[in-house]
Amino acid sequence: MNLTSCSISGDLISSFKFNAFMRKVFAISAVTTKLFVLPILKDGMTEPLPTTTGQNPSEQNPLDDPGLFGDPDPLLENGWFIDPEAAVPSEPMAGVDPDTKAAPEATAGEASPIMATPVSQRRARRTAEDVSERPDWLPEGWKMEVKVRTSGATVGTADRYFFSPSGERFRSKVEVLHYLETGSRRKNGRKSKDDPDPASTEKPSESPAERKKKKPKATSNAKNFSDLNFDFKNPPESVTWVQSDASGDNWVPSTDDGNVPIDAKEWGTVYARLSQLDKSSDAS
Amino acid sequence: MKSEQLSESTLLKPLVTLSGSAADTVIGPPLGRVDIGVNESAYICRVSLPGVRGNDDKVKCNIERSGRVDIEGVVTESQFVKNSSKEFKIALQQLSPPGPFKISFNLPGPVDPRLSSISFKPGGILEVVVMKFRVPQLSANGMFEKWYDCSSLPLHV
Repeated sequence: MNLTSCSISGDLISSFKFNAFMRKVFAISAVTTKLFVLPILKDGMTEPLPTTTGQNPSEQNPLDDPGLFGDPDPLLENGWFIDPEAAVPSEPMAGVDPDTKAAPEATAGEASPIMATPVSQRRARRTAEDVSERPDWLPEGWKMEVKVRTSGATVGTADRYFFSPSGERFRSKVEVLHYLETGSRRKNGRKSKDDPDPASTEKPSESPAERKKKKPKATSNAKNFSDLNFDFKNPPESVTWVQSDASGDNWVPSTDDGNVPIDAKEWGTVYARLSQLDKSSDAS
Repeated sequence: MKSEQLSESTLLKPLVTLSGSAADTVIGPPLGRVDIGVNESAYICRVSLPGVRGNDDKVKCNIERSGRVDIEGVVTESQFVKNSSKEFKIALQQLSPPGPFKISFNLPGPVDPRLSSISFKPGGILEVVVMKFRVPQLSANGMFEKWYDCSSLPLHV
C-alpha cells in the first residue's frame, strides 16, 4: 500500500507525537479506519508505514488502554510509543499540524532540534502524474479519468475515477474489484454519482475481520451468471476491433455489417466476469 | 583528409551492434513477430508492431470464430522526417518502411471473438487476449458449474 493510492481526505481523528528517539518527528494519522504511521525524515521525505489492522480510535480509544505504554503496542515498532499529551483535536483534511503542539515537545532536550513543518506541506501529494497511468488490475473496456481538485485545502490532489463499460462510476480500486466480484456496488458506500465533492466521500471501510468473512461470498458470486444476458452458444462469425484512441487502450468492435453491436457493452462485462472467475478458480 | 575518409566509410557501412535476443533475430523488419500462448480459458497473442501505436491510422484487428486473426495497420513515417524542410536520404533501412501492413495467423482453436481484450503494451507490442469458444453449464439458479469446450461441438446448436 502506498500513499498515492490511499485517500487521506477523511477526517483526521487525532494526531500523536512520538518521541524523537531516532531524531525524527513522527506523526500518526488515523484516517477513518486506515491507520498510517508517517515518519517525517529530516530531508522532508514522508513514507507511510501501513499498519496491519484498521483500528479505529473512535471506537476503541488507544488512550484508554492502560497497557499501551507498558506493553509493546502491536501496531508500533520497537522503541516507538504514543504520547497521549500530543493528541491534536479532530480537524478536517490537511490538519496534520505537528508543529503547533507536537514539535516543541519533540524537540525539547534535543541537542539539534528538528524544525517540524506542517505535514500538509511535506507530504507527497498525490498528483495527476502519480495516478495517470492505467492500472494493471483495471479490466479492458473500463475507462479511467483523473480529476485534479481545484479548490480547498487539498487543491492539486488528483482523484481517479473508473467507469465500467456500462458507464457506472467508481471511485476506488476496492469499489471496482467488489463490483467485478459480486456484480453489485458496495452497500456501505455512498452513491458517488450523486456526490460531487470527492473530498467528502470518504466512507467507513470494513474491518479486516469483516473483509475476511466476505471473501468466500464474493468468490461464489463470481460464479453467479444469472444476471448475464449473453448468448455463449452463438458467437458471431467474426468481429473487427478498431483502435479508437492513440494510446491503443480502447477498441471499438464492429460485426460483419460494419455496425457496432448493440450488446457490445455486455461483452466487456462478460469478459471481466470470466477473467474474475478464472482468478477465483485458480485461488481455490 | 583522414576525417573525410572516415565519414565516407561510415556512410557506406553503418555499424549496428546487436546483443542478447536481438542478435538471434534475422536482420530485417521486426514487425509482425507473433507469440501465441494458451491456457484453459483463453489464447493470448503478442504481436510486435514497432512504430505503429499512436498513429493517426488506427490499427484494425479482425478476429474470426475459427480462430483466425488479421491485424491491419500502417507504419507511418517519422514525424521528424516528415516535418523537416530538408529531405533525408536513407542511409540504412532495417526497420519496416512506411506503408500499410497486414499480419494474419491462426489460433490453435475456435474462439468467441466478442470476448476479446486488445491493448498496446509499451515497446510496440500489441496484446490480444481472446476467450476460447466455450459454453457454461449453469445450475437452476444461474450459478456457473462447468465449461463445455465447443471446439468439437457443431456451431449454432
